[in-house]
Amino acid sequence: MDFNRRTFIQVAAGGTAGILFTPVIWKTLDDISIWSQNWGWIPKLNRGNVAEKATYSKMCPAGCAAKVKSVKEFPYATVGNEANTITKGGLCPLCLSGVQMAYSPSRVRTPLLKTAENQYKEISWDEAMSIMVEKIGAVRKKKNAFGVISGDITSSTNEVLSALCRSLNSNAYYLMPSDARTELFVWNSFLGGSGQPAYDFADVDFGLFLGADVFESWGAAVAAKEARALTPDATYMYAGSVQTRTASIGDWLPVQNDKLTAFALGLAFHILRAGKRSGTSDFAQFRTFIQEKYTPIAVEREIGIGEKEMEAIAKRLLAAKKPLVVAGSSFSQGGTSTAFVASVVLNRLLETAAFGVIPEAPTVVKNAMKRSELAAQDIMQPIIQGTNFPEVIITYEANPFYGLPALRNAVEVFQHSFVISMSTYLDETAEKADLILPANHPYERHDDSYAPFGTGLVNYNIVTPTMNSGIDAKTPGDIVLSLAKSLNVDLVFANMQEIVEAKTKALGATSSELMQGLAFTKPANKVPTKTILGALLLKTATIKENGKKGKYSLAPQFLLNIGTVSLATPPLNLITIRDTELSYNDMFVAMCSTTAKELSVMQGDKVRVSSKVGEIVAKVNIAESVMPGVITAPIGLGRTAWDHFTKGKGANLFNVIEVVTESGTNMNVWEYPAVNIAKV
Amino acid sequence: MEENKKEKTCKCKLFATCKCCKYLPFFIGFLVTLGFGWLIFPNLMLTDKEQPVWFSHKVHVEEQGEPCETCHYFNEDGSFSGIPNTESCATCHEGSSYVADRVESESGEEGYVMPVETKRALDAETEYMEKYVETGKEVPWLVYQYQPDNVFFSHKAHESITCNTCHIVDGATNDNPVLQENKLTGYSKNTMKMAECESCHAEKGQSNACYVCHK
Amino acid sequence: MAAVKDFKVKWGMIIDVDKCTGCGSCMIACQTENNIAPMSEDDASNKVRALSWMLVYELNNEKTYPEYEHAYLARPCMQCGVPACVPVCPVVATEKNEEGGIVSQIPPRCIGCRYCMAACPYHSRYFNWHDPIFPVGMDKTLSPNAALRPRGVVEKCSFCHTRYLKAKDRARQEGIDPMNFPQEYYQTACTQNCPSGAIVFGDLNNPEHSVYEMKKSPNAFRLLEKLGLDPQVYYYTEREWVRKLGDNYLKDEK
Repeated sequence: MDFNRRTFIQVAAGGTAGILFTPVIWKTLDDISIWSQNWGWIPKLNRGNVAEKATYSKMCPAGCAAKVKSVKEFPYATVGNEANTITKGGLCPLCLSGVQMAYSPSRVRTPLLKTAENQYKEISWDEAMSIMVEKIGAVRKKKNAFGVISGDITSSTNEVLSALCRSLNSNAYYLMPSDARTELFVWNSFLGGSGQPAYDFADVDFGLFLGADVFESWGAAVAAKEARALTPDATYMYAGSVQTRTASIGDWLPVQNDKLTAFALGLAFHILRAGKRSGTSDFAQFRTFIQEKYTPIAVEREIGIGEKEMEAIAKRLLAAKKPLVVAGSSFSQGGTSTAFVASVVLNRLLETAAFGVIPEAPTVVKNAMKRSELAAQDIMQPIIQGTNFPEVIITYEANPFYGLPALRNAVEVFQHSFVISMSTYLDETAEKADLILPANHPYERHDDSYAPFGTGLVNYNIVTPTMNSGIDAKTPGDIVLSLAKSLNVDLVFANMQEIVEAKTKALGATSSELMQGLAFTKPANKVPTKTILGALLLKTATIKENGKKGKYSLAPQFLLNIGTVSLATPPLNLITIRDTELSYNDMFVAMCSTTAKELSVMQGDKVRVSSKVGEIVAKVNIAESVMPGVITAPIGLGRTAWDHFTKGKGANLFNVIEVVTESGTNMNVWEYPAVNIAKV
Repeated sequence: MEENKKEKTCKCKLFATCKCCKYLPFFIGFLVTLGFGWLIFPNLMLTDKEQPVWFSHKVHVEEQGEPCETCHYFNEDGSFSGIPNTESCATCHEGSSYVADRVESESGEEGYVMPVETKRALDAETEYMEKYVETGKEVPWLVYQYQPDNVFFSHKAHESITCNTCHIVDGATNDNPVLQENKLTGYSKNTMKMAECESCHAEKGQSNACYVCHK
Repeated sequence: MAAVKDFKVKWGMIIDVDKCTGCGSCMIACQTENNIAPMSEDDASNKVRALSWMLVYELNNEKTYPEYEHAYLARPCMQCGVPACVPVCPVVATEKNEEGGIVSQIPPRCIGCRYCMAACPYHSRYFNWHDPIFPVGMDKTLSPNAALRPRGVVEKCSFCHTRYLKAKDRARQEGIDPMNFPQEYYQTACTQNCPSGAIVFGDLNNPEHSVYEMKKSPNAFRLLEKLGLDPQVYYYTEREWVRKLGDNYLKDEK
């Protein structure tokens, strides 16, 4: 046999035929198809048994009872805990992103010390502690030279921080602005009340909401919604300048936000006429005041709603078995005292079971401030007066460098302070702080929540750690406890877990039940007669106009899915933002067609919204849900820190929000700031 | 002329005329690839993988007398426990070195020579205790029937079928089978492909709707 | 005209538009349950590309201030009784053949032709323009209930189908008939987490499930009913203008 081309071709042909009788080709094709279904860069799922661990999620201001679901040791989702009697298994859009936010690219991973503008160096916890001890030690003898800014009113961490504050010769404890603070302050300082107002939505058959976006973000929105789900026949009325999400499920009564007090007092006229009374010491004064100043004609002149309509609304309130009137700012902060006081008067005259008082929680840390004492200081005071903040400040769950009105002024006033920011994320405050301490994620810590603002019962929930992201971060309460120790301030407790246990005991709650996510509850108290109606306040509190008023009013909205002041939009929440609210990097301000015509702008046109304190640029969205002369936009956009998901998208409304002072209470108010709008 | 005619008799003398020599290269090519395809190729695509720790079902089931359900059971929600995790194994193994203890008691006797099998067991137990029980780490067991992420298999739904239909449960084996892993796909040779599941479903009258098995 | 497939069990939803406040919890619960990656290659403002299996629309009565009213409507996949997407798929990546009536979508089989997306009148189907990218660490927070889809395939709401399979296992473990178990055994992620209780999920054919009665309400309607696709998602509203938006009506049509 010779080896020539024919031989070669024959071997090749034989080989080809042979291959076809083997599995080679078919198997290889099959393997390739499987290989192409399993690209290496597509993450693989975790396998194993699924477990649920109960906790209380504090991603939103009120918090939601949640269960963290995990596959083996990998948490993957947050679901509602239906066993909890307050939130009943519902979850807000922020708590739903809880697990994912623990791995946010913007998490602070190590203590950082500022060396120059925008320059930080990584340091160890020990170094950070010694820097804090040094800075605080240098000022501890001076009165109010140490201060705290707290953004979470519900946690016992406030006890630790306030006790430390007092031990360091200071009462400079500031809460971040909120309707919660406003109500606590007015209730305790002007009405002779104690504890905090309770709003019990269970079985409410008629709800009248004055500005407050009750079913979206005001107070305990999830609790309110769950209560509403159980009362399908209930009706609601929302009075305000914007048809908010709350207004979409009831009747919208267009009333300018700064006329809501007049509206409420106008209703009081009819309620009084129907024979309702109150036993407070200032009832007679109140009645005279209403009968003189809030007659139907006066009210119609002021707010444009006639007697018949007012009477009809009053009738609804009177006819309801369990009515509830809630007043608040459209974005849950900067509200006037008068709207709140007026709403409380209505609730008390109606003698509704929906309104009551939640007493202060017992404190377990010696020398700690009670909640009313925490609310006594006004964070805007130094900013308005231009005085400095304390020399050394610790911020806890707070983002003042993003979320304070008249932001430019606020930032200036902080220049002289050494800011220590306990941050989970690299937010605007962390970016400007002098020392950043990584706080762990709410799902990684021991913590608690007593009676979030807007709840209707005495209630207590605890947070137990359900995951560990592996980041070297600490529980803020634990950081402060070690700091106290290093400063030779004996706060007795070693960590937050001990404090939570002590608090549980002090309240008479059962630890095992709390750990399962069951809320400890007790009914709220009735409002005592010694708490006055606030007639004098209503008579004397008016807004002092500071300088030239802008032509338009801004009614910001607080949309929970977009985030809060302290929490930028979680990545998964971005798709819930409509492209008429935010489109790429442009935020929209909504106005009705009348306003748009006045300004000669069309849908999508760019406008400059400006005030005495700053300006923003935004696009126009024409929406008939806004009263003429009013514009609205959501707060929570316009981030300058965080990560690529939110940085640079939209504008921060706090840049344009001007602050005015309410006489009579000297409260700083900014719920309905005046702005100027011009086409760009 | 006779000299010009070439003899066409086959060299092997079996046939009158020879075609096979002429086409021999074809058959050689054919047979070689046939051999390659059936004998060599399968092994080329596979690598042998061993379990990280030697686990003997024989020891646990026969010698220790543990029924299958001790380690392989259904949870309350119907999910299958699968291969037990370190925590489950630690309920017996934490603080107890069974082989080491037995060796200690036996090695006291005169002329004791540790059997090879016992040495193997002792090494495995020591490794397991040190690397996994004491550290609390999970053993990265290799799964012979590893299915892709998009497959949902429910042991509960298949409860009525004997385990050895899909798993090797022929008495209790002493050694762990070698996992032959496909180099390209990463799946084992034993991984059941969809056709097997489908044919059994069809035979038993069970639905073959896509979502019955996929997620 | 295709016939409606009859199943003994028919999973469906009633979504109460009057209860929904547009908070978006359902949209986020859906993403965490089904491993939908946050948008990174495309901005989340690109609503054409956003993978929103559950999407909350904002409706309005098209009047000017002050007669203006608005509402929110959550839209998952309708799991139509006569799906438009099923017959058009060239590779049978989508089918309606399982007891329960959930239209299946099998991404490994999908070739990405997007014919089904063109066919679906509800825009319930979404195409993966990109591979899923999770920020570092978030790729460990994956739900075991849904396989990840690479780029080039279509995906859609599956009524959290893996939860159905798990519910059947639970029923079997408890000795209950897996074709007839209590409503709370199988709830979709959106239903479970909605704080307003606007979504109710259950077996439309099972008298013991609340959706059975609710679907018969005169205020219940389905979207685009006139197309004859027999969707399994019902909506409930007492507001006439909302109901009218649910389909195409002639000017004077009731």
